[in-house]
Amino acid sequence: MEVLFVFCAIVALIGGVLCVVQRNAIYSLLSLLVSFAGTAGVFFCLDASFVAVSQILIYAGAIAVLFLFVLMFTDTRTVLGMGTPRVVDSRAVFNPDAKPEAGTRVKRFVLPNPLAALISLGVLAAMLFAIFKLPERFGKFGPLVEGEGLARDGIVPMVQFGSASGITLVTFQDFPLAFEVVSILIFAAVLGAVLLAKRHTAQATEPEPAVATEDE
Amino acid sequence: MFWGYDIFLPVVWLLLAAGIILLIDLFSDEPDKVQMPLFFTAIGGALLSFVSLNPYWNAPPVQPHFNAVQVDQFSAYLMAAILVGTAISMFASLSYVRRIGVSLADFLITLLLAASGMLLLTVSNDLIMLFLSIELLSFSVYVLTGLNSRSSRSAEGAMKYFIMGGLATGFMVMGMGAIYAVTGEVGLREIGRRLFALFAQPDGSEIMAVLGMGAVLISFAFKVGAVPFHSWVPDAYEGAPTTVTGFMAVAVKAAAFGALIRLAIVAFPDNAGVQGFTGDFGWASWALWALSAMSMVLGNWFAISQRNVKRMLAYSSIAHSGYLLMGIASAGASTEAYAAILFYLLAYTLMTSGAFAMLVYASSGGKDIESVDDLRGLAWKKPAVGIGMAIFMFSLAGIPLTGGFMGKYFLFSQAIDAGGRFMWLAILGICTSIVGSFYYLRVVAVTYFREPDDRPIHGRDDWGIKFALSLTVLGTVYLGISPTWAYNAAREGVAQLQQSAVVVVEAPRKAPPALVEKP
Repeated sequence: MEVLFVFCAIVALIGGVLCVVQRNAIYSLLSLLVSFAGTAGVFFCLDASFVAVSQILIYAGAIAVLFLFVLMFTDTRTVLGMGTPRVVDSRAVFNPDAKPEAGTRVKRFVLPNPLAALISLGVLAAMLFAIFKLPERFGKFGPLVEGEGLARDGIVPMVQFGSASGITLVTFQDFPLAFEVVSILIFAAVLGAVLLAKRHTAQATEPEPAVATEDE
Repeated sequence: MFWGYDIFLPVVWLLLAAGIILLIDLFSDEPDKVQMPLFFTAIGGALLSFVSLNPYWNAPPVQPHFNAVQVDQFSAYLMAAILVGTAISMFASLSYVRRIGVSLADFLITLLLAASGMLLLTVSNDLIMLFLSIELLSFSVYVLTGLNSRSSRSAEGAMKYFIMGGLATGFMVMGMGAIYAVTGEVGLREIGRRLFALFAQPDGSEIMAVLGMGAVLISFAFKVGAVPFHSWVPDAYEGAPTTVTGFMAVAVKAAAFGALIRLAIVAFPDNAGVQGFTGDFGWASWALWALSAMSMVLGNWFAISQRNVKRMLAYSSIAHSGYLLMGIASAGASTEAYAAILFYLLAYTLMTSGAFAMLVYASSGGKDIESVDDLRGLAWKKPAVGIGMAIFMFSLAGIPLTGGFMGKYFLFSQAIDAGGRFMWLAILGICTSIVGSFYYLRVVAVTYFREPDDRPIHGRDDWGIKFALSLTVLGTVYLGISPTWAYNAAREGVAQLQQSAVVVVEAPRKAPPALVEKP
């Protein structure tokens, strides 16, 4: 199990790094998929089978495909030669007319800004330091069963922790209100998407009824 | 009544109104005939919500059995301010939104959803509810910003706001994850207890808590538009329909500062027992100090050079975020800075939504007010409106006899009380607000001392906006002349919240259900 865990973790990390440094958006997305699969494996190794399956179904299955559709619909070729932002009328916008200079090869990988990389690595180092300093009880599975943290009531043994029943218990017993608010949130998001998308079709179809009545 | 679930009534009324509006809009064949029913449904929802805050004045805090929210006088105060801002925005939009080509029903539903997210944010008592309600309000406000389909600036503003807001959300989730990792709790009070114990006996893992708190602070700085996290503010404020801009400026700020104060009091108490960013969290106080100083200086500085009124008010809102952050930074060392922030938020709600309603009033045809010159001679076309504009601008600049002056007075005097570096912050605040009064007074000067043009004024026969303006003018003047009542209510609310954070009550352990067998 440990071997599988380490393998999945490495796959997830490599996928994540590739996702960030790829210049081509489609390759980036495929790396993200690999990373999702690795994360699902990590969840599976931690006995969170339900989370692992949801990860595959929702992230790898639905969200990545959604990304793919968006990328396919937009013209990704222009992204390569988008140029640097320029300032127009006190706003920074991307220059759509910029072309890569003839003869220069567009690099396949992009490396992050050194300063940003330094800050990120610093934060990572601080977090790792803190994780190794965490009390013993956080490092092992045992005390979770006896009543610390999420499982403080002793109701969720580790084996059941990530199973469907464990998650159901947590959702509907400890956080029922959050569940309700999530439904309102999704309602707001769907409604907002419809409102913002509706206006284009409304403008496009507005003249049509008049034409139809004339024909009759 | 309602088995203890009546604490959700303020939110439920808003959601109910949104649902009814959705159904009326869906089943009506003639949209023009249902405008008034739609409008009064929304106003009725806000009014009922306001009335259902009644049990929480001068009453002990109420918590349902699952501990995710806490309703107390502190949140009731903020909810009242948010509902007032929402109602003013509705009145001001009554005919404005249709004129710019937005359906009233769409606008009202999104506004009500945003308001319900804000109300939830002020009562959230655990990290999950905090995150969800911030997302609910942000999604709705992104949509509101982009509602104006005729304007490409509206789409641009919405897009920028969405992307920066998404980044802020990332910071917030990251920070909450770190805090959860180090405390193992999501409830704010439990987190406070764990952090208290952790900082009493540091073992090295508190770095994680510090990183988490830093990330959460950054995300709140994004939400309130503090420098250097302000880049979305001018574009989003300029692009959004004017009444939405007013709503964004006041209600989002009130909700975000409410949540930040609750976090500071309940979740991050330091080891000296002082609630606020001192002692162990002194670094946070320094960070807020820097945010506040930069926001005050740069916000006012950029506002001076703006010719566009909405962009000017956007930068002025950044500056006001700076004044409010000064209160949060100095709260650990002073006694009543939180109450001063609450009072300032109430005064700010009235004067800023009034100022934006004034821009709607003075606009003509389907065209928004753009440059300051569009306001020329307004005071001679409509003397009463000129006086109202002057009152809002005086209040924003902080000139006596207005709510804005009293708010600044309370905030600055608390910071001076705190002494040390906060006194210098207060001095900086006074200097910058003197500089800032230049661009507010320029608007007044343009309305009085320039020749009026013959453009028609939109608000002449719009009773909704007249009502909104009267309400805000009266409120601003009232808070300036007699601030005691509102200030005392704020003080009691904060005291109550502090009380509920100090008394540490162990939640009774639930009996394990029979469903899961123990190993």
